[in-house]
Amino acid sequence: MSADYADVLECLARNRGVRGSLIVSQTDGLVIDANLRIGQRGDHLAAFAATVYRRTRAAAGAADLGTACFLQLDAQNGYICAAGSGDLVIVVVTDPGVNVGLLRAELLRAAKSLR
Amino acid sequence: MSPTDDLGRWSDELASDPASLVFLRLGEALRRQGELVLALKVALRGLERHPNHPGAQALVARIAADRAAVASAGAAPDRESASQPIEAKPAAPSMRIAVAGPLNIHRGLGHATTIPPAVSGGSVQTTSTVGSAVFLEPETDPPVPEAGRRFPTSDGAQALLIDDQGLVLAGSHRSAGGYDVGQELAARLAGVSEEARRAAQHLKLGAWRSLIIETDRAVVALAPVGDSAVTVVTGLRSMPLGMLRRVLRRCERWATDWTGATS
Repeated sequence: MSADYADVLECLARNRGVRGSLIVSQTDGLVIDANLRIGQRGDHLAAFAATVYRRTRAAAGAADLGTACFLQLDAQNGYICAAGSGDLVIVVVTDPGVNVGLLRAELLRAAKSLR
Repeated sequence: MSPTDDLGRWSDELASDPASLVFLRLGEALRRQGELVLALKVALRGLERHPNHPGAQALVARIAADRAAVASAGAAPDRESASQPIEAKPAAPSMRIAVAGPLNIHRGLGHATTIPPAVSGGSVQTTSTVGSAVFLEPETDPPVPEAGRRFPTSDGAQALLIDDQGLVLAGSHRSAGGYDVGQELAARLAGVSEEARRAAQHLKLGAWRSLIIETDRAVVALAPVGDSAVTVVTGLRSMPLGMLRRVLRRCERWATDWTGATS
């Protein structure tokens, strides 16, 4: 199973501008597997990404907007993108100039492959 | 189930959830039973919580017209009270509404409650041929722009401007059933924008610029406006994300100008 996760993360990491990718548990925000640049800490990223995803999912559901499946946080120095698959969330952190459309497609495909 | 049971049930439901739209049924049932004063109180309380709801506005107008007709015919068992304007708590500081029978018209002097500008746009409204049952007039402060009409949305997108407390500053969001659920949406999404800000800050990504959420039914985009407001644009799932982002940027610029103009 861990090899599957590693393959998924490796595939995402091949995209230009990707700084790191993680598979995180949505409920507790803990890292399940990660592919990060040297020196990068995944635990903070995992915790924050899981929290944003969880809150977004809850808010969308409560506001009758449906079930959230993808989110993209655009910040001054990069993006955080996340796609959910059951309790798992695949999170990717990127540089600012990344091709978000391509990354989104890859993320959604990766999330589907984890089901 | 008897009508009395219905009234009791709806009343209980409204007590347990004051934001519920059941006030529409309760107010209408009371109106039909001739309990016009009570019906008006229920309707005005509902209108305070759902100021843009067309059903609430129509209910108030129907009740006011009934009161006017009854007072005019002189047949009201509560004729005295029918001609008394009803006061309600202010909901927004921009407009005034006064409810009175044709023999007792008060132009906003001591018998007024306030409602947001979206209801009337500041014009005088006559809902009955008998007389001016409901009229609205601006207070001394100029009304703020009607953002719901001016948000530069397109492709069926809807826009809201919300503050950091989760309250709607401008715009509206209508559900598929036509109800304005902007307030509920604002309350839910305010926490998300705060979480986005914190995450971007702690992860050293700088200031957050937007958050796009895809669900199985809709696409939602949020962007900060100044330090304490957020623009929310929602569209159908079929709306392309690039278009959503463009609409968001337009609305964000508009909201920045608007908040600057109204601060």
